[in-house]
Amino acid sequence: MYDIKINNVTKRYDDVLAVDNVSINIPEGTIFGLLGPNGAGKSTLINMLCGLLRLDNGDIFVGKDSIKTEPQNIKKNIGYIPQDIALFEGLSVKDNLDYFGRLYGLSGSTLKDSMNKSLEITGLLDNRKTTVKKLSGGMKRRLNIACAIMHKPRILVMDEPTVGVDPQSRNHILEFVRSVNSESKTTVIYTSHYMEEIESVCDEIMIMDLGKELLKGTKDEILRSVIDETYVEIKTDSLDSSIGSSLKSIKWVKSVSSNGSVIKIVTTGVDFDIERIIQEFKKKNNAIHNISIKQPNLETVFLSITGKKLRD
Amino acid sequence: MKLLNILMKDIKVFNSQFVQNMFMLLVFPIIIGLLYGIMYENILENKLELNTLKVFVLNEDDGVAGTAFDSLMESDSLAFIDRIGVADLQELNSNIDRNKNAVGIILGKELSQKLMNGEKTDFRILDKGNITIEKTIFNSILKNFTDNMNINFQAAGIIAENSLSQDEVIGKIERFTKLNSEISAVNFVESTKTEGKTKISSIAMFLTSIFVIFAFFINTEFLAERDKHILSRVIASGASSKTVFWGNFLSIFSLTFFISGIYFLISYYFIVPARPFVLDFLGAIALLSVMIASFYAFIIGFFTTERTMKIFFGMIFFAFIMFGGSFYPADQFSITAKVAVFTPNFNMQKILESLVSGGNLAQEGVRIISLLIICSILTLTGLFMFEKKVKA
Repeated sequence: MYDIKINNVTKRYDDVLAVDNVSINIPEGTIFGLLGPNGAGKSTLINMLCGLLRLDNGDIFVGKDSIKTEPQNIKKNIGYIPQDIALFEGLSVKDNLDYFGRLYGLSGSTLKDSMNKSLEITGLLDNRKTTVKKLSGGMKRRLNIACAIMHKPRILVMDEPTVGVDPQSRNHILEFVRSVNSESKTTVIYTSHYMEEIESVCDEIMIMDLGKELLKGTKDEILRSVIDETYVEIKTDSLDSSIGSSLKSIKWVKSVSSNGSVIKIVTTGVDFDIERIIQEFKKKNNAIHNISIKQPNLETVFLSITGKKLRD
Repeated sequence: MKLLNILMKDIKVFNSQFVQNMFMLLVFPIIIGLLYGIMYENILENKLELNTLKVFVLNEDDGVAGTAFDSLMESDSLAFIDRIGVADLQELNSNIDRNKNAVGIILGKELSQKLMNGEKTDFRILDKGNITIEKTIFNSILKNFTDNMNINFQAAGIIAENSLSQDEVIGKIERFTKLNSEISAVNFVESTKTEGKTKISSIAMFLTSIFVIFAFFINTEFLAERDKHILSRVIASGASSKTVFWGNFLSIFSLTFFISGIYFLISYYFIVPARPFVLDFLGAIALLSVMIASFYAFIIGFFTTERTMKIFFGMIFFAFIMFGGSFYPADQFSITAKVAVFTPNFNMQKILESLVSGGNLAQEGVRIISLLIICSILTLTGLFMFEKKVKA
């Protein structure tokens, strides 16, 4: 079993409390997202998980192994993809994989097979002989990932893997996260300050700021816990004055207001029946020209709890 | 295995820029070494140019001593002296007064006879101006002259008292004249120390290490594990900080051994006519490789980012070069000599000098031990700092 248990972990750099008493349970096979702005403590937390930083307080367990007493056992099962590209620019793609593969203890045919598999997964098979410095930024990112999966880790730690990446490589990376998780049940810990990435791939999310856990749960749980409203805007030709009272009679509609030919509806909750609203318009023979639904997202959640944007 | 993995990676990095590395580490040092050797040859192996020193002479002795002194002053070897004879003391004093730097010599009346009789003589030296190398040389010659004059004339006086004939006395005095000519024949104008017929001097030989250090410094791909991003990744992959540190040490040692081996092979066996015993040759290369690897170990321990390393590398490197006397003879001055013995490059340079001049490593036991102690201190300090940083 490779469940991860982070128990009351604290890390301090001089006067700065980088991680403040954080506890998380991550079941095996989960894609766990750590969301927060720069300086939130995400990287510090995963560096402690990877055995790169000492814990001031608390402990981290992977299965039964503690990071304090059995760091080597834990490291064997973790593939760490650092935030910055950590490759040897003067060496070829293959030589980089060979170097990191051997560090993980691979050799002979196992090393060769792992190399081919990693190249295949990351789409770099045709670039195996290319020198790293000749690769594009996106390809370097993919090689950064390939080096971390050489030993087929049970846990993959990805620290902001899409920073400075073109949309094509970004999609490739996100696709890789989904496939590695679904095919081999690999646990993925994914940090980012891009909320759309976290929303897109993660099963569970923790929002951090200033070293503290702000919210934790699935995306819907987080959204519901903070914001329980959805905004719907409908543009019509001619607005029937009675439509307002008809809409207000629906139990999950909180308020209705109009501005010219645009009617604004605020609903309770994020799950509502848009068909029901459309029916009311049909009954009154009001032609609908446009419907706009503004649902809350993690960005609005973060804004509502901290008063600042994720990328501030 | 992980150590070898790091070594193999660094060899691949080296090969990835093979032509540039070979030029930086081999061709360029040999070219510079040859140029340096030629410069060295011109500076130390040629004659020393002396300035003219004005010497005003009032020679009132008609005897052997006066004649011998005139003979000494007219010697070709004292070409830097402008001898000006004066008639009396007043003329001598006025001439000296008119010059910034000058020497006056007075040989009083009947000097030879008084010397023979053991009476008080009038032989005076007047000096005006600063101490110069010309005056120092002239003073040394005069001292030899007067010492011999005293000894020989005293001996001649004793002989005369013992009823020897006039011819016998003169014969003995001729010994003085002969000794005097021997003194004047000393070719002190020639340089007293040369490094043999080498085109690459021992200092130039040492340039290898400087270039090797610089070349590794310029090629930032070497020891890239020191970079915090790659270091994090390597540590996360299960390698210990000690493995990374000693892997880097082994890489630098091996690559330096290879490069220095080729360089010294060319230098010792083809350019310099000094062919040391193979074990001495390999031993010297191994010591040089240990020295460079320990220098890097020290640097790796303190600096993990490219920027800080580049800033402090130069400072530390030039401190070693300066205090170790890699570009000047540090052991010629008492203060610098005391400091230099604590630098690895000074000890290494002395070991290389010994080999160039036909010595062997067995004769340099103390220096080798000193060098290894200094290298150990540098390496272990680097390891301590490196581990401290990784565990922070």
